[in-house]
Amino acid sequence: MSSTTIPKARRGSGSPLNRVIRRYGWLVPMIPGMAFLIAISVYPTLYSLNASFYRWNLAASARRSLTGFRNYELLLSDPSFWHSVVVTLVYVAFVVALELTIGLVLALLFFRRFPSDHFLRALLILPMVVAPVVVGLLWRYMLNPRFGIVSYLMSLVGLPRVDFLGDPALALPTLIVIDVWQWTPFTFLILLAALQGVPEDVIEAARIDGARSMRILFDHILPMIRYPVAVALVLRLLDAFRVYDIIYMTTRGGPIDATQTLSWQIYDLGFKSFDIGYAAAYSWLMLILVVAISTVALAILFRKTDFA
Amino acid sequence: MVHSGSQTTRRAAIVGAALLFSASAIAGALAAEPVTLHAIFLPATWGTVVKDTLAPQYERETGVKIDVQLIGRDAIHEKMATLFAAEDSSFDIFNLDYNWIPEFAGGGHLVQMDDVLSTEDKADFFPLALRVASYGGKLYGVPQTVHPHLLWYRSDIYNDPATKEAYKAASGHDLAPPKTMDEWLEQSKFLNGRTYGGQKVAAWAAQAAKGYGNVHTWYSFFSTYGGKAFNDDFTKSTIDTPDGVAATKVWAEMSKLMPVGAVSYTYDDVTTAAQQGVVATAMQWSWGAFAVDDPKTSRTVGKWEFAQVPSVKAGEPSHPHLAEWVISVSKYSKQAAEAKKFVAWLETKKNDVVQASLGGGDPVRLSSYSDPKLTEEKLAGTDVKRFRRYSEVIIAMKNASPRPLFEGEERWETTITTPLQAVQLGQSTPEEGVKAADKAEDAALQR
Amino acid sequence: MTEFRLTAPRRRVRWIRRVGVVAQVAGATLATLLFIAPILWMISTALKTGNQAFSATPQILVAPTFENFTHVFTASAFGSALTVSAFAATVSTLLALVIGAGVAYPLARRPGAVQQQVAFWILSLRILPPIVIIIPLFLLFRSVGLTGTVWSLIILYTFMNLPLTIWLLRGFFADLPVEIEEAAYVDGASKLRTFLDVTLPLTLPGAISTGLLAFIFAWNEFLFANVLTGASTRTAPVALTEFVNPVSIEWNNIMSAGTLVVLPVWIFALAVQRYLVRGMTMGAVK
Repeated sequence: MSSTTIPKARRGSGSPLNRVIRRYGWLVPMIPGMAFLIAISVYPTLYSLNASFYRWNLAASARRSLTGFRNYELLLSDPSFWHSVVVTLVYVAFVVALELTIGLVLALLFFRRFPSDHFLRALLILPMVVAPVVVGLLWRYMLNPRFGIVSYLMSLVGLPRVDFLGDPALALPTLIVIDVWQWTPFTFLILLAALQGVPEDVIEAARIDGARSMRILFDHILPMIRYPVAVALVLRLLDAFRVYDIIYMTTRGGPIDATQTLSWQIYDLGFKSFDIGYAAAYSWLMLILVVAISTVALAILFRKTDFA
Repeated sequence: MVHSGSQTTRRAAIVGAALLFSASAIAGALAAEPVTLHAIFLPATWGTVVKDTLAPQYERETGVKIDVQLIGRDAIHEKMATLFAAEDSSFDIFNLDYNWIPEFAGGGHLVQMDDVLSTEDKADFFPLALRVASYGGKLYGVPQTVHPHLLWYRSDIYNDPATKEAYKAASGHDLAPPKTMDEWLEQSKFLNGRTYGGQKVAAWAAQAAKGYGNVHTWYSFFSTYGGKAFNDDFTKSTIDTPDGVAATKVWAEMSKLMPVGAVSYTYDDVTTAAQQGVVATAMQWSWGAFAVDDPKTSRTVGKWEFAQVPSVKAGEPSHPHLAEWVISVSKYSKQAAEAKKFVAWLETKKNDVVQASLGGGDPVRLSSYSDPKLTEEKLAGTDVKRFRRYSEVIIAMKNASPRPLFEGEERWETTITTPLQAVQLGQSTPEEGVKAADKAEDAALQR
Repeated sequence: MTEFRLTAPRRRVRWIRRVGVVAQVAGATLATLLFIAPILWMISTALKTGNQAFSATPQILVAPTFENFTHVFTASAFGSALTVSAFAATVSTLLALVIGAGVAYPLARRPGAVQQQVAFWILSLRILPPIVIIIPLFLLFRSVGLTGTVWSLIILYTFMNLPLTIWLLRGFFADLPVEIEEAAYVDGASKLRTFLDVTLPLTLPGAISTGLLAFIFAWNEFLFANVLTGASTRTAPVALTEFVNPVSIEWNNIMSAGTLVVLPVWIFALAVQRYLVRGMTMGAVK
């Protein structure tokens, strides 16, 4: 493998100013981006951290009072917080696992060229292109027990009309299905590209050695596409944690609290109840949780952090 | 000194030109900045009436332009909070659900509107309507539409001889619009599942979705049974009382008799169910009745009649849940005076009737209810009165129960909707449910 | 060289391969149909009238009517919403690509512990739930007088997409062997020249696919647009929710608005399709 680093020999020669330029000049292109990111993120981060230490109603900001860690204490002893954690973890786990698996299967299916594969691929990306707001409404329409097409098709084969989004036991699985429908094309594309990057000779060599297809897959191909898998996984993981648009358009955290994810609770508390302090504490706890999980996921994928 | 003719003419010309110039400059300055008010209304009929008809008319009459944006209920609430937190003046006028008055007026974000209505006006409005639009004894919003809960029932079903006979045989009572909750429950159990016009009907429908829908429906039951949600200074939730349990029990029983999928029913789902003939009765806002009389979307035109929400005991009044939308002016508006003028104009006697006749919400002035323009109007091609519900609305307004009027009201609805839905779906018993509601709300009050 | 005649076993292998291809096509077609069936349903509903959309027995084949589309354009000024969306998404995507490349390139070429931390901090910005940062962001924009303008959205979407563009572009840059750039230095080109003439063209597929993803996210964004925009600057997703009103959910109008929201992005995606797959290789595989 070729290296991607710049050899050291170029640095260190010339006048002091030139040396400085050469040593740190590569940082220059980063300045606009980093400045922008820091500028936009610093204020909201500090603001929300600060808010989490207050008892603060948005409509009555003048009357807010400093309460220290009270919000965090209340949260950690609030059963609905833990319930949201569980709902979110279940959702994220299933969604990421299913999207990666089905995406891989699809990628394997499309791996070798066949007639019309480009055409089909162009269609397959459609679900991820549709706005989440539209996705939510579309599925709500299709799953309506009275005039939804899903219900109708079920009745044609003798099944009763089921209210998928209104049944506490079915609502979360239904949302998972919707998310998988929408985002599998995303993982599919990434994995397909990654598979196509695996050199033929690796596969041929394994086959000549007499290995069966499945073993080739697991022992040789999958490890080679670890990076794309990791990127797809992390991106989907982070987005799954923040899912909101779909819930807003379908179940709104219900029925009862079956789909009350962390991000939904934060919205509910922050914008319906105007409990900004409590919502801020909620989001910081959520941040800690997400960072922890992503770190663990990445560590599992990469025994050593090598990104070069 | 003698001025020659040409000198005089020249001077006159110069003065004339100067006058003309300054006049046009002034006119230009005035014309260059026509007053434009920015308003947010709900996309319900009373919002669209303002946007499509009344605002343009006001512009023609006064030259003041009103830019109306229609946004959904939740979005209005969010936007108001965000704008007020930033003391933003991009919007002058807001359409509010009255339960938001305490939180926004209490936060100092609304302009007082006492001087918008004269004493006569104030006497003409429903007293309850004005009361719920006030905070700390001052008026902060001008009522635009009131709509209490009414019991809607299918006259074709209730007058059907076969049904009446069968009911009499099964229960020993006559089939008439129910006066008490027990009657309604009994009738509902009987009617649920029967077929009319080739369509199987459910007993009733009402809002039941998580959020505020189920709370609004439950609240009519709760208030009718005498429940009070809080103690006097709103420091303790008092839903768990014998009255509260009784009300929740009946509501839970009735909830089993709604159509399939009713647990997600929002306002428009109830309307659709009524229009499509899927239900025999309904508990719905009085104003919504127009939808079932629309031949383009309704299969039950003229078949719906209106009565009071059933009470607990015969002869006693019920306490239907009050819904009302008011119009307020933002404290941060730079054109508050103009905004108030527009609001006043919208709710004059004349325009209150105009709004109603154009299909907007139900009127807020008692006098409008006897205006022949409204009371005599009939549905196209029939003998059925378009506003036949008005007599019921007046009665309902006497005893209607407003939502708890305190700053955390919206939060309260968001908090108790979950334990209530658990009762709806049978996951908790009514007793457990009201206890859980109290617990959740007390915790929220602490936050 | 003499040609061998095809013998029977050879023919059988060809036949097996053909069956395999047929199976592949069938499987792929089935999978694709499953995924796009809801979208087909959306389009077909967009072509129905209100009553047809609500009827208890869904009508599969109906004479199409375009009244929903015309209604959507006239009743809610959807055209201007689409324009706003297009402007905001395009500008923010370009900004995110250019600014992001500036950050991604050094990160790719100079790996180290500090850079790793920086990269992870950038990624962590994507974790922040929009709800929490929306109030302070609104206050921030208000202090510079940008609320209600499309520029607040552009700044926001650029911010939202930078972590994505930086991470993806970093992978593409790292994927390009440094020897190719070295060759240009040796020839006397400056760093900037090298970047523009050598690096960029070779990583263009990656940049395009990154741009597409950023565009999709910006175009479909709802939450911020809902709160931050004013009457004249609302985006397409926000305009669409106007059809969800208290009186009725106008499914046929929603579906046609939804179709209109999907079309531009999908056409864009189609146009860059061939780059999408090739460009997304971001592994350490050589």
